[in-house]
Amino acid sequence: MPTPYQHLLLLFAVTVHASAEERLSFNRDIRPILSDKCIGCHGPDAGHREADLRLDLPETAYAKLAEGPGYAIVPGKPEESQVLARIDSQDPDDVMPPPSSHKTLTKTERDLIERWIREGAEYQPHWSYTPLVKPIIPQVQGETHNAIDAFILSTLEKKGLKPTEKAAPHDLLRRLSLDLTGLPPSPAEVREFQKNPDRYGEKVEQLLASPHYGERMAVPWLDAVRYADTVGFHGDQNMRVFAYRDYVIESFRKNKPFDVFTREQIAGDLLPNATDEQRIASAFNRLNLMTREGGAQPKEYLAKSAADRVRAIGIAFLGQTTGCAECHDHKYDPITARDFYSLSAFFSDVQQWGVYADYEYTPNPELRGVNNDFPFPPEYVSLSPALLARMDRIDQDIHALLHQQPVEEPLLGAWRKEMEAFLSKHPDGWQIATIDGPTSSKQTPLVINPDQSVTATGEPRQDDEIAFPVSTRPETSIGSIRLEAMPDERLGGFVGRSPQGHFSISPRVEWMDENGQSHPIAIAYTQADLSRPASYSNGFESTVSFGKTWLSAPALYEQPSDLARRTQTAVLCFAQPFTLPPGARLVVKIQSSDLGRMRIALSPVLHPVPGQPAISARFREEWANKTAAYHLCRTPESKAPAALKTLLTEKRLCRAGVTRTVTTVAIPAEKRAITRILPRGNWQDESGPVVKPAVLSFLPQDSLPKDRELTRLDLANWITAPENPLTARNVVNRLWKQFFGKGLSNVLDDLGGQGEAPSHPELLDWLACEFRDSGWNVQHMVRLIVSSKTYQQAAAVRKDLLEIDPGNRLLAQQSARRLDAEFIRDNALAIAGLLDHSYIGGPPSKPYQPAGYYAAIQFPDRDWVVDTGHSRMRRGLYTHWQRTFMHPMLANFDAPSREECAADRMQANTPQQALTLLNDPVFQEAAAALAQKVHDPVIQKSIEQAFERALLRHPSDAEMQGMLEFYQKQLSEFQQGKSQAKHQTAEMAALTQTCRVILNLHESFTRY
Amino acid sequence: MAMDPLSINRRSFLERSFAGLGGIAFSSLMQQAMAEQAPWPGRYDNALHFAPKAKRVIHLCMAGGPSQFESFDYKPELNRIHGQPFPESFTKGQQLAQLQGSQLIARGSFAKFQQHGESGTYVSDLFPHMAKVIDHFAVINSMTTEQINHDPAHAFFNSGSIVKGRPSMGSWLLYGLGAETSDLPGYVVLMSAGGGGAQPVSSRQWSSGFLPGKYQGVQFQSNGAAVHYLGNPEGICQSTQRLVVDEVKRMNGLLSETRYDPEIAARIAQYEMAFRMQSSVPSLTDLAGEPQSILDLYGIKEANESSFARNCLLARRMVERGVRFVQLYHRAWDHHRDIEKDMPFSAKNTDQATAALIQDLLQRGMLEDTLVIWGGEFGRTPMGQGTGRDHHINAFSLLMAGGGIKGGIVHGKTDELGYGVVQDKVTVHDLHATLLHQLGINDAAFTYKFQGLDFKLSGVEPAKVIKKILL
Repeated sequence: MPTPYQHLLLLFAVTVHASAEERLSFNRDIRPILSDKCIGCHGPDAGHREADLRLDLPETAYAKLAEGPGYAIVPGKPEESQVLARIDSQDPDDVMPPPSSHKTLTKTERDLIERWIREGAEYQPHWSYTPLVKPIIPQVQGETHNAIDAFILSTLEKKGLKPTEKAAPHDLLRRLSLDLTGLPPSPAEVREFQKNPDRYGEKVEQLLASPHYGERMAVPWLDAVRYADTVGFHGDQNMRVFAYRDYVIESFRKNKPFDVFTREQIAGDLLPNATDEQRIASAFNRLNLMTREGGAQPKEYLAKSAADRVRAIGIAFLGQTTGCAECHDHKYDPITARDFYSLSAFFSDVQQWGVYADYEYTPNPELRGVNNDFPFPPEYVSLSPALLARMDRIDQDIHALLHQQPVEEPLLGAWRKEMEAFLSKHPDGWQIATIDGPTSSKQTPLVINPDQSVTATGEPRQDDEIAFPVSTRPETSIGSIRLEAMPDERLGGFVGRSPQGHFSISPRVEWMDENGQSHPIAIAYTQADLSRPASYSNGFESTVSFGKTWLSAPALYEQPSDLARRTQTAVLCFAQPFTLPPGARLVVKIQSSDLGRMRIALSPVLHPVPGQPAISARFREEWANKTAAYHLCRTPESKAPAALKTLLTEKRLCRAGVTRTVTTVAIPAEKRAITRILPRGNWQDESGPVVKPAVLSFLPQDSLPKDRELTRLDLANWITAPENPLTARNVVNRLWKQFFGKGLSNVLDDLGGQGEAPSHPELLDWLACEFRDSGWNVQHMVRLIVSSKTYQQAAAVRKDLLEIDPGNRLLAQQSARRLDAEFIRDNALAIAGLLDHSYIGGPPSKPYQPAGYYAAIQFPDRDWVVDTGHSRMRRGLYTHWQRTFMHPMLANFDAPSREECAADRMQANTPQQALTLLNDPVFQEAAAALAQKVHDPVIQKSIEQAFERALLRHPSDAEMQGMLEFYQKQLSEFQQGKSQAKHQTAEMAALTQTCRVILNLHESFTRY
Repeated sequence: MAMDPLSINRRSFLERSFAGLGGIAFSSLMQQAMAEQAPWPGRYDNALHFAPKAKRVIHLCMAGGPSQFESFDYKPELNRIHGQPFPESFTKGQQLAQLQGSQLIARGSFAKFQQHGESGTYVSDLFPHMAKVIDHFAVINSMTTEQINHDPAHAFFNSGSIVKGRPSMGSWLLYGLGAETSDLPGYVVLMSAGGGGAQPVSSRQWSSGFLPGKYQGVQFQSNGAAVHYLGNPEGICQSTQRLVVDEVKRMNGLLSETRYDPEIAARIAQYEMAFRMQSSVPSLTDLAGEPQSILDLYGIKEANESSFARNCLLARRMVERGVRFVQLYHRAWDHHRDIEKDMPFSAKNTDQATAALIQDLLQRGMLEDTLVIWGGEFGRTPMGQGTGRDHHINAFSLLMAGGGIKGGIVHGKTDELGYGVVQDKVTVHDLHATLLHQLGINDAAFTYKFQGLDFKLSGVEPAKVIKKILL
């Protein structure tokens, strides 16, 4: 999105192109004028065409005029061309464009048209629609690293301009690191690189292999597909979707070919034997805005989402403003309204609802009971690697905490002996319980299976209670019990006996003494890996524990569809370790009418995670020489340090690593809604013709099957088919911006007629071909770009270019660019050493946010609880993305709300940005932490270090001089008590202010 | 190219950011820069399409959709058939919200109407204060919209479109005209609520959409710092903060000696403005200097209360300081049920302050060039919905005053049951065209290019300025 002054630049840039001696190029010189000033009324939109004249095609422009005498354009003869006569007319009724259009031609534009007609009025097909043919790499005088440099130099040499020397090593490594990972290098890395600047290639490979590369690359894609954590309309409720974001990160990390990436997102669910990953990827089709506003008309919102998806395909993949054809044929591009609705027809199989709620006044039987607190079905249940990593991260803190708790040696010794024996037999920490004589209070038939599970068969029986007497003698104290509900052929393959294969069970544990007397064992906590929540709150299960009763998965419309046929696990955690007295036995009693097949296991561990081994790798490594393992088995939560409770709560909130993600489920053909062309986009008008799924009609589509109805998979395949001229151009053009600040065609969301002709059309085509021919290899393209000499030039150092090329489109030097919102945060936290990057992905994080910011959100009311622990310091891209009120720090630095797909971010320069960096507590914390890190008795050394950490260079004398004076002034401010430092000496406070200045420097958040 | 549009001086002038003294579209600078391109007609302070009648706008958005039948559209016939089936001839095939599929029953007004002022305009007894100043208002009873749910209806009312990413009217004005302050945002949003009938309002409603971010509305918070991150860090006094800002400026100045990056100069200016805002915003929101009589006029009990009344007074203080567009959302009008209990409460919370704002602007000589708009994103049905009324888009009431609007008139007419418009229908696009017209702008010629199209606030089809309500 150009800012107004950039608009000026564009205007100037256009006139730079055509020099007097060069022959005019239709695409470069004429098309922009015709498109902007003429095509709106004399173009592809048949519904609004004036005088039946089309000027966008040569055959119609050269033809005899339908109204009036003569020809619009006579090639070679401007004096006979009516177009020019009408432009020159003094008669307000005659002149073109007409005054009512509020469009005027400039003298320059008029003269260009005349010259073009004189030169033969040669049309060219629109550049982005022409077939992709790899251009020949031009011969140039100067030195090149690869083809990119040849194309860039070729233009520079023609214009008599010299490229700029290579950037200084510290600038170059900082640039490379920020561009590839969004994080700065450390001063040590920079020093190392300064010694070996020829190891640039190694650095590139190292950064490409970094997990943070995936995080960095994900951000523009998440903008393009409008990824957010809330639904956007009305109550803007939470939607569960972070696994899709993690999929995007992981795809870039693994360098997934872009065609595969495309296919998985648009049609992952339709792929044969679709994997978890592919099902999660298909969340792409569900990223549209959703509503559950009372009184909303389902049909209206279904029409809105259909249009939303057509725009998404246009922006994210094709670089086309498909949305403009919703009400009528596109005014400037050959996209018809039929194309629009045919594209939307691809998505008619997506299971969805217009209004995701069941209201008394507008009942929705398919979503019975669904209210504002519910998630947005259908959702896909999967195990999140990020959550598992997060649990491990918390586990690390738990061990660190418990190691500090002493244990008396005799106790420890005895326990270790016991444990050694147990672990050798049960490496995962679970001892399967042998069941002896299970009974049912309602005489339900019970069978003991060889694996020691018990299967109940027959019809559900109300008020049944099944007792599982355990004959196994526990080898250690018992901390917890595991219940495994397993599928069984005798139960139709289900885990339970309800008609849907569900179960609902209420377990308790007792021990029976020698006299047959029963004693209850207190259970402190229960949790299951899979379950059907009894209620929801703000889009999530209301509780983490299932309490007394465990209801089996799946919940409403949950996927995968065979969830009721998969093993589901629960743990019952004892309030304290229990040692079975001699001669006694353990009995598990389960109240349930529909229990299926169940297996019981015992563990010495007090807080195991359902679905996971009770003994972690960390436990196994440490139990013999450290104390945490002992406490995890023997010290009840109530007697452990209070901090353990917080950590356990955080760990339990990871819900055993199981997450749910909105997903695409294809509904059967007979249930799909018919797609019609909606006249003027009016969803209430059903008079339009029915359309079938089809891709843009004016583009080649040879690879598509002709003999059957097309599917989303066909659409995905066509998007990256060899004959598709748009996708490769669109993707490399956006990628280019990431490394040079602007696209080669700098209207990133529109490669159509009203976009911008590329500054280097041959280079763009060469890159697009290279991308396609490399097997859609994204890293190959990134490597090519950053390896070019063009990329490695110094930035913003040429005064002469300010005049000649203010937009730096010729790339005779690198461009300076402010970091994007997320990376401003990441960079500051990384400099201060506060950034937590112990794992990639995971649930949205909640850093500091001004209180009361969500006051205007309702249904349900929203509050913001700042994350505790490490997750408060996670990278910006993980910040909870509330579409209607996005985080003010991100919003102030121009991150889009992600209500619509955004191919580009504009960059404003506002006082709000200054206020954020000056006063947002996060940046305060960063300044204080940086001060702490660099503190040295010699103040000059502190400043120098802080400078080096932030800017990766040494301060100049003038800089240092002023900073020292500033420090002294600050010191006296604090010493005099004008400003108060909390928990800091006046010296540290003054140093903190100095660091604050450094973090506020334009250079700190600009990549040069 | 002789021109150098990026010379640092010119550039930083253009970049006077959100508060820019002159708006970009009509600034004389733009004139100069564009001179070789297309001549723009006229200039502000003779740069606009028309001589402006209004210089600023206060939009009192009664969010949720107040009932016109209990406020400004007097319908004795509806009262007469109260409780009877609503004639199907009116409603057949029409779009309804929560009433879809229900039996439709006429609901008469529970409020009493009387004629007021010299104009004899009908006003209900829920709005006694507004009744006293009704001669300053043009009451439009023929307002219509296209969107029947809150969220899209607000979007449509603000931006003329329901597609996300379109600029709001405040952003358009700021883009076109800039503001007359360099210490405050040019477009400010304030929120209040109270009682039943609250609905969420998205920050998208004051988004600058595809216009540059600096034209975005800035929401002032009613609790804590009025603007996010406005307050100094804990313990840091203003002189310390000044030193920090000065040092950042000095260092950025040194940077600009080695980097030819025009953003640096702009950044220096923004830090300066941020520092000014740190004192100008608190002094704006501090009502200590207002005499008791003014607080009483608005009905403000505590100077720091969070209320519509305080927001009205803040709005006056903002326009006095040169803010171009102030938008007050009062989230309290979605009366699907208990309308007889809740609507009087909502009216009470807004009536006195609205009237006070008119009087206050008048006594300061500012009403004549301040356009005040009062109304919701839609109205309510003449049919009952249990104890309330459903959303209605075919006809509702909207009031305008000041800024060249003819007071004491009623514009447009609805049928005898208030279901549809029978005379002088006004669309949201017409309202936008009228607003722009009063500020001196021809809506049809006020465009911004995005995704290759020339977008207008007033939509694709020609909109009509409501000539009959203009002075």
